[in-house]
Amino acid sequence: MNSSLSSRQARPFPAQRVLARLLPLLARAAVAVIIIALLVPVVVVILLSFSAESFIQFPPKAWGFRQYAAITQSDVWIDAVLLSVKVAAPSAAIAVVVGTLAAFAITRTSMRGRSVIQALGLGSLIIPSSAYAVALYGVFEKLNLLGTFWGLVAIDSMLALPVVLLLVTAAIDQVPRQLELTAMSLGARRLRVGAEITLRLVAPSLVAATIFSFVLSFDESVFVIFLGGGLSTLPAAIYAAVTVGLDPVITAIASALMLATGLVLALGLIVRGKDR
Amino acid sequence: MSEPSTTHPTKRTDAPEADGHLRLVNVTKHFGKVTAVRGIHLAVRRGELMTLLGPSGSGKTTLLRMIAGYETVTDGSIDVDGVDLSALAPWLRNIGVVAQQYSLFPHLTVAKNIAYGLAKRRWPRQQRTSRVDEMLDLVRLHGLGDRFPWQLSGGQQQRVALARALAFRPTLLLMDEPLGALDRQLRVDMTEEIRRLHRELGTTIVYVTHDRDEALALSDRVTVMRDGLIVESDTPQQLFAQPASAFVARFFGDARIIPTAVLAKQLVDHGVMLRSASGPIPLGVATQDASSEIAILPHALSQVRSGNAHLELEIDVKDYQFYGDTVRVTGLLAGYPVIARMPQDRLSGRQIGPTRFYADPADLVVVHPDPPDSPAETVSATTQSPSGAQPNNDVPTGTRRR
Repeated sequence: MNSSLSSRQARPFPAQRVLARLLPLLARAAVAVIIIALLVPVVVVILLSFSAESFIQFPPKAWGFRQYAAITQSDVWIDAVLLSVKVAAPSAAIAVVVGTLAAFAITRTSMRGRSVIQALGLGSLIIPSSAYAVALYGVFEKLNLLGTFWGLVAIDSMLALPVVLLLVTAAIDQVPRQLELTAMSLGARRLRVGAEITLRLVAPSLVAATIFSFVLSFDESVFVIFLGGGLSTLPAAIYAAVTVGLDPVITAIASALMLATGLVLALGLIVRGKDR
Repeated sequence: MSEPSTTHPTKRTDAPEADGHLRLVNVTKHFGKVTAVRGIHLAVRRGELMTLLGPSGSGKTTLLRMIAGYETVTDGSIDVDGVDLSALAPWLRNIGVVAQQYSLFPHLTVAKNIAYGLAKRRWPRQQRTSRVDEMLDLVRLHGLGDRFPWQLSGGQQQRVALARALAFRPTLLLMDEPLGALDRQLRVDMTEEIRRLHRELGTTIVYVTHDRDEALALSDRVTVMRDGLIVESDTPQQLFAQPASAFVARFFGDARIIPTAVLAKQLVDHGVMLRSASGPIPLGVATQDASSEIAILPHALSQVRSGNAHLELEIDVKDYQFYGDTVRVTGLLAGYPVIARMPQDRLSGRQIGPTRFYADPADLVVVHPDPPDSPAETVSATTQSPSGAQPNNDVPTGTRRR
């Protein structure tokens, strides 16, 4: 009995052995498929952006910078980029300020309901965007915010809030309480300790949170289409262009957008990584 | 002298003295249902280096944190030079604090760390820089002002922390296991350093530790705490040689405890004078108190008879452990574990089994037995008492007071 049991454990059945070898292979294959599925469209779009033709065709018959030149010639695209920046900047600022204050309340006070703040702060991550957008439509209509600049800022800062909250609470948790207490014993009032010690030590995460919030707002497409009322941020402009017809310019815009977003996010990661 | 509501022997606990620099009166701390500190009375004289010594959970750190203002006081009062601290925020108390670790601001240089307290007190820039240089010299870190904390060793970092806590001339310096994160040799060096600083500056220091050797070497006075109460408070010499309680004898002197009656059975002459915290006492008299116990300090026993060491005791030796300058002998005296520690020349041999030992009766100390164990301490208890420890029957003092 005993020996058969132990030998069974030592030498698995052939089927099990095959599975044990196959599973890692399958896992790798799955990862490869996912990566290819994600990357292929990106590569195709980038390739298409260097097409010299006036309609989308793959592979392009002629290559060139015609699409990139087209961006600069049209006010539509430049205005769209500017509007996106104008919305993203205040949205990021509001999200970071509100999010950081909330993070302090959550980590460094015994305020009542701070776990509620934490849960609600992450709410916009959980609710499906389209459902949320439909619900907000009614609210915005009542408040006359539909199609307004500040309406968009309000939505975008709310969407960025969870990112700020997660990044900054994690960073504050890393600051030893003992440092703050010591600063107090040395004569610093609570607010000064918060500014000179805690906030200073989480500064890299604040920069990262600002960058992420900015990108999030800059890229936001669902809410602007539902509630923007024709305000043409870059994602809205791209959507509009695609629905009307397939203008190959959007491939160039998409490529440029990916490059810019990638660079900015990398910058954010580098800054945060320097946080010892 | 001692509080009637306390259950631990608090014979030598100080009543607040009129000349106390720091005075704690009936200081109590509850954390929800847990009572961490139970009505402590303590006075620290100006310029004194007083150590709060106790196992973890004894309330010593909570007491320190209340003095620093990191915790509120549930009941009682703390004052320095007659000024009640309870109304003062930590930043107004003018008390320096050195913590175990994580105490330097990582984004500031050594000089800026030291100057932090001065900047908060709006010292003029020139005075600030000269004071920083002075402090760097004092802790022997001259020329390292431009370094960042991560560029320093652990010992250097603690010296910066010390300089920073002393730079603004605090009325009181609190140290919370400041050597806990350092290795052994560094601890010895830092002990010397702290004593030198204390001698040179004369600052009143309250020092928290669980390390007996640190407390012995550093302190003018040691206050031994247990279960949120003071067990004894006295000079290290006194606590080492004449503990009043079994707890201190064990914790401080590494003594082993036997009931007085057991010793009396071993000895013919019941007139020998034993030691006790309240003076010499004949063995016969000590035996009259059935609960009384004797602490046998490791240095009390010798295998060689000499002038004062004339009491004969038979110990069933189990082992000899060589410690270089001394040999530690473990064995049983009438079934109770005892430890003897003596230099080589006081060993007669190394036989295992029943062996004759000699003791100086003045080194056998009559002590108060431990109070019934509280639930929190039953795990770590090293009690030798053969009678099973009774469940805790003392009511938290705070509850009683309400």
